[in-house]
Amino acid sequence: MHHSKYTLLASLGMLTLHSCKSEPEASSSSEGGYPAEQVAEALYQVLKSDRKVYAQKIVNRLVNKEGVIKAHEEWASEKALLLPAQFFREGAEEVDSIEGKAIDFTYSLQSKWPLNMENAKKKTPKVEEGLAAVSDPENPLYGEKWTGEEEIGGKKFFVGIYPDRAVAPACWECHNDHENRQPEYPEFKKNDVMGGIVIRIPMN
Amino acid sequence: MLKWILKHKFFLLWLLLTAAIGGYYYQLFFMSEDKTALLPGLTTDGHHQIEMQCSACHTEEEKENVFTSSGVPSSACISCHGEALAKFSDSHPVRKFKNPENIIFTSEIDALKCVTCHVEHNQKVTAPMGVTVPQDFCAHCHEVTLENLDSHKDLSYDTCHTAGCHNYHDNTDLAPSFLLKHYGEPKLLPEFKERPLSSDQPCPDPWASAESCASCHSDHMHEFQKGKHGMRLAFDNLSPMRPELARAPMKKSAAHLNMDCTSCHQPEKPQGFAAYNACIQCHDDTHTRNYTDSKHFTLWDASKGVSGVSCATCHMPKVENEGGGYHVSHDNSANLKPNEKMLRSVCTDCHGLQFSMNALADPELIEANFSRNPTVAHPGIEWSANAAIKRGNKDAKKIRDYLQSLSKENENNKEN
Repeated sequence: MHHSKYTLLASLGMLTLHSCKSEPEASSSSEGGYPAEQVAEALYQVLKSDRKVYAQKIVNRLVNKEGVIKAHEEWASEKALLLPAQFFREGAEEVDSIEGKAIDFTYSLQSKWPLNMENAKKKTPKVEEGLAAVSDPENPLYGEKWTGEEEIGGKKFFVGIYPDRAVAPACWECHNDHENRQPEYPEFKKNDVMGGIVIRIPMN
Repeated sequence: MLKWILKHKFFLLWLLLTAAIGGYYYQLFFMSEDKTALLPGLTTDGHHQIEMQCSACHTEEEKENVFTSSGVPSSACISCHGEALAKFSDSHPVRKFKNPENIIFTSEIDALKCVTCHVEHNQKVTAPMGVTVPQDFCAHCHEVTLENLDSHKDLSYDTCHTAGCHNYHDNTDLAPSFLLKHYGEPKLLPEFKERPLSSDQPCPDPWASAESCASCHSDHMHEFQKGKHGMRLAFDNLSPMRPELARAPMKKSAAHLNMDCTSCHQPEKPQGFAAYNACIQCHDDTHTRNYTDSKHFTLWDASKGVSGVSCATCHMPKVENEGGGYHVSHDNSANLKPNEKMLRSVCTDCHGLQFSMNALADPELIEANFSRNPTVAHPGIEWSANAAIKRGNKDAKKIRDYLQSLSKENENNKEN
């Protein structure tokens, strides 16, 4: 699964590189010289699709519909499927462990309503701002992308935040019933924006 | 002559001293087998056996980056420990911290490098498990969890990993879901878990030498070299381990024995020799000496070394193969420290989790080799049950009610 994802990511990176050659230079460009926003957009399409497939066709089908296996936070010892958020994070960490990537980037899943309190601490002011925009139904950017720039540890990054929607009952049922859910968190339903995919690309 | 000597006495004295110092270092570097005088400080218990193999840690990578790196590269640690870390899916792998958003954590404690927490040759600041940072290190990142958990509010930050609960690298044993799953188990489980070996064929060339064993049992040899019994064999320059080199108490009569396959596997000896008798040839600590007072030994002795609980049952357990079945782990250190690692691999095959946790959290009981019942209850399972009941878990509530009724019944019986 991961291998195919990397191949696809690499292919998208190449496609982006070619397609951007004829376009005017954007204000934020990644280390390779191509517009960071386009690279992030392409990555988002891949990540969103893989995440949807895992949630709908693996977890929801095998756990909720056919009941042949469970998905569990302690997936290794329980001999279970990874939770969709864990699957996503494992992929992100695999990408982080690749040295010398042609295009340097990182991604993570964050939310205005985190279940993991340590994750809440990681949110930079820009991420807070972006998540608030893409997750608030009253905001014009609700369900759209939010982009900006930020500096972390003396290094500048393009940061793109893209909506992460509830695509299968496994998503909202688990979050609505979770023991770490805080009283002020909303009751999620199908297609709600539950959080955001945060993509960072180092800038020249 | 005397006049010349007196005239040049300081030069001669310097020459003599230089020759003496030069001679001392010559024999130290080129002749003596014992080079401990060259060490900058005492090594940890985990590494002392290979402390003379400097290049095991101080690799070429460190030399190449001598002006930019902060010491031993993590790759050196991973080359020995990586396999074990991967086996139980390290809870805090380096890759988890590479995303720049983790800077809020890594600026407090640089989890990208092993040497942040594990510095060698510094006995003064070395705590159990070779940890050389203050014991409250978990709080740098997890203080928010501590503050939000009802059960943890009154705990001090230095108890997370020192009270038989959490383990930075392998935190699977005391995960809340695991604790809850085993809530209410009795001291002895109604059915014991069997671990059938996947291969138990007779040896065609019984125990001729370590080399001949390894020709068929390369996987066992590989494991053996990961543990304290065989780690020296992983280096060409080092002799096999001998009890006289150990820091743990050993019998003087065994001081010069070489530790290899035939130390434990001896064809002429009765069945079960390798699992108990071989161990007591060398080991002479209180835990070992008290084994014969334990019920574990009574069972072992009654079965004439076929079943029951031997030294090897706990310290060289049968572990699951990737393709199914089990084999005897020859890495005798894999589940040794911290001892919570034994819960899944050994104790809970026969005992309830609560009883097992109570026993492993009692140092005096361990010294006594479990020859009495534990007296202090580990609170972990109760905390998980409290949280589950609070959020409406009916199964946990049923178990709680049942345990309370049992407790009342016991009290009534005592009164009567």
